[in-house]
Amino acid sequence: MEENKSIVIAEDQSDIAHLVDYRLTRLGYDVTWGKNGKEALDFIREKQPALVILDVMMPIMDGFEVLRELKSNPETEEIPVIMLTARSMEEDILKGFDSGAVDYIVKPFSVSELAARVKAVLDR
Amino acid sequence: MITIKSVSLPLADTAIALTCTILVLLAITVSMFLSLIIIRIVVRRREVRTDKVKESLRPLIYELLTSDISPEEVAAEIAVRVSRKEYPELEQVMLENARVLKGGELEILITSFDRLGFVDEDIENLQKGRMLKKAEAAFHLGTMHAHRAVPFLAEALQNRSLEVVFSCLNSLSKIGSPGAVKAVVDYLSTNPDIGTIRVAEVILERKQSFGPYLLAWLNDNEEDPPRLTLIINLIGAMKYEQAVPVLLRYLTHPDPEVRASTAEALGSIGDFSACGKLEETVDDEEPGVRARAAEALGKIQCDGAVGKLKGGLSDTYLEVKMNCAVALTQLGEEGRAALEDALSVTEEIDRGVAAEALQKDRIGKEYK
Repeated sequence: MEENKSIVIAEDQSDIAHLVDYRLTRLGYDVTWGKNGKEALDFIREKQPALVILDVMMPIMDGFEVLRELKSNPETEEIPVIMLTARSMEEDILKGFDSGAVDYIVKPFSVSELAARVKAVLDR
Repeated sequence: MITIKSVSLPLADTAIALTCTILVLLAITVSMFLSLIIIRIVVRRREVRTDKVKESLRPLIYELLTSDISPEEVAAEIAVRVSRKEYPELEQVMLENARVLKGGELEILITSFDRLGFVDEDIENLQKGRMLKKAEAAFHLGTMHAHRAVPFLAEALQNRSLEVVFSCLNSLSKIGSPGAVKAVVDYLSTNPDIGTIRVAEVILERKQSFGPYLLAWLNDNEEDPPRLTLIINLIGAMKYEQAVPVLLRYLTHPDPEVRASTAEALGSIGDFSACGKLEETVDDEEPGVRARAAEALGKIQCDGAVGKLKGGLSDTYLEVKMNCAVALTQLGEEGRAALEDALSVTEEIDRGVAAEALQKDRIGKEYK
């Protein structure tokens, strides 16, 4: 069976999305960018990606809402999610993990570190 | 004697004059409208060109940021591969990335900003540019983490424009070096009117880098009370626990403002090791200090302070009584029992304070 290399990133800041997209594409992943939570959710349902990178603060639907939606749907509940956010408050991190996120990266971040974490999650 | 006669034009002449006026006004309106369209087209074309150049530069920057070569080699590589006329767009792309990156990738950008001349250019704009240019340059220098720009940013804090000042404060706190922190604290302590939420947010956003510097400042025995009060307030707002042992010394400072701020800061930090000294401070000669100490004992939930706080219910100052009563409601059953006892005290005002505090406590619990 062919390995699923698809990753969906939900991020409203284009500079961050471009950077992550470039890095992960260079590493061989097939990246799709959703500019808000709603758009990302549509891509996730359509593509059934191997992993989702989810920004918390987004227009229309925030990251926690998207995460809740993913975890409540049997078709998407198994997809691992990495949260990416500027909010470094402990309660946000705990909320992310409680809601089913597998990892949490706080902005500003290192794109190499993000790539390493993506690989680690997908290798599990 | 001069007499003024009214002269009436024939009807045809009046109509011609009116038509001419309308035509001139129409011509002016049309030309203004056309000018606006032309300006819009020119600006749009410039934006499209800028976006196009930025789009072409991004892959190069991403590639170099994730390559294994040194920051100095990256800067040299950029200088070779990007033409000078594309430097404004290059700076924008690099700034975009500097805002979201950290670690080795940020180091590459910091070195490149300096080597490619962007730091010098923004220092010059900060000194000689117009107001908006100055504010923009100050903001860039912070994003570039340009340590050598600190003296220039500190000097620009004297600018009359608040936009420039806030931009400089933001950048100095982003740079976060000892010199930058000193410039921010010096400015804020001599400009108390500017102690707004916006500045506090700027400072607190960088609490991790500020904490040690502010603590070092306290350790160096800063003597100016307003500056000391500001530093202590910031430490309290940051909840910087490492500062507790040093803060305890300031509970006996000669200035009452400093003592009150210290008690408040200790309450915000919430470390139990402060309980003993705060209990002693409930006996301070200044009512404002006693009130803050009582409040802090409640916030920290210092269980052993029930007796001291119960005694405070008989203080001659209402604020002290009230804070003691509220603090007792925060100390569990024992504290509330002490307040119930106080209801039987003969002094009417003490009964009133105790009853009010208990009432608030009950309402709070029911609400929860």
